[in-house]
Amino acid sequence: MSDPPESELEGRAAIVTGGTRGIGRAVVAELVRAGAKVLCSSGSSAALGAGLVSELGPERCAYLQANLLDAQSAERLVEAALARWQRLDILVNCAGISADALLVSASDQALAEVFEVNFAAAFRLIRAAARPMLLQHAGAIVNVSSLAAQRVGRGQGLYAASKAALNALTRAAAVELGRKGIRVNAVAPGFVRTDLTAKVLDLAGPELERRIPLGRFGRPEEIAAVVAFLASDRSAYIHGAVVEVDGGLGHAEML
Amino acid sequence: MSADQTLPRVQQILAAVLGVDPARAVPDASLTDDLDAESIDFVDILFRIEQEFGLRIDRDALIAQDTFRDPNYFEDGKLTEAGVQALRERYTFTSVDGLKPGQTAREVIAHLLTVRTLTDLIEHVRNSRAAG
Repeated sequence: MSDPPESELEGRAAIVTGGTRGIGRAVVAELVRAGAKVLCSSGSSAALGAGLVSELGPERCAYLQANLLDAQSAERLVEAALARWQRLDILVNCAGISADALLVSASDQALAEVFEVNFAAAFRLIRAAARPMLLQHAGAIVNVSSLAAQRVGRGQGLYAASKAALNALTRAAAVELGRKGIRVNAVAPGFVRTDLTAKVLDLAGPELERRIPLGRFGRPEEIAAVVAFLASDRSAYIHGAVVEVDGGLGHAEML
Repeated sequence: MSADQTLPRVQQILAAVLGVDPARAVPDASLTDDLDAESIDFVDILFRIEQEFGLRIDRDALIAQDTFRDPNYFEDGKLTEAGVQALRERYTFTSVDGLKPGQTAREVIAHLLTVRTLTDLIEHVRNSRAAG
């Protein structure tokens, strides 16, 4: 994909959860590059948030630490974005956690936390963001899902189920909000190399990469480019879609 | 601010949300039957009323969801005598004279939710706030 014009998102304000690491961090950088003002949040990495603000500039990027296990966080984030930027045009639900465990040994706490962060927080943020977006009759919501919603590895059951729920939420929100000019879509990344996944991907090694039709793992920037596209008017007629960004892995032959 | 200034502001909101000529949004106009409002429009209308008038309005004040879900008030999809009474008690801020047992939920909503219901609700919330 060619680079979008630098002013494509000029004047737009965004919230990106999970915005200090990996895909989220790349999304924040890409939205800022395209001209948006971004409030990013994370649960714990406040120092990374401060670093990102200083790197991208406080006039374009703000950070708020927000524990998405707390149900009040969604409203707080939307209020903070409105207080800072006076508007909200883009919401990117990127925060996600996994709980690697076989279903038969997964705990109730893991069940609650994975669904709370990956699904319930996204729902609450959509609900909270809908207010300013409805008043504008415009907005773009992008949920960062996962290929795991379609193709599940052993030990990924809760994560996969929460992402499948997020896909259903994406479609449901699209059906309800479309008439109001609010577009809702999702991206479903395959294997993406980030600081958090590097170890696992290195362990899985070339064997895993060979299964990907494009022959390599994805880069966070390649996911961020699609998120920015879905957040922009260039995707004005894409609505309720779950866009796979996985190097073709979703269509690969089974081993 | 007097009540007669409320109507034109509500009409402007309905024009923005529903894309109708403000003149069509007369007090007796049914939001659903005459102005084609759908469920998401009610949320949109309430948000705009809150913004325009600086009020907080409970979602249930406009649509009493619990009443519509109560099997004592709607039997086989039809409003019961007890349901008429319950709705009268819920919508004390406006006129609900036309409610009759046997009406469907759709008919009840079409009847209950008029432009006048909105202006009465705004006055009610405003007066409660002033009194409170």
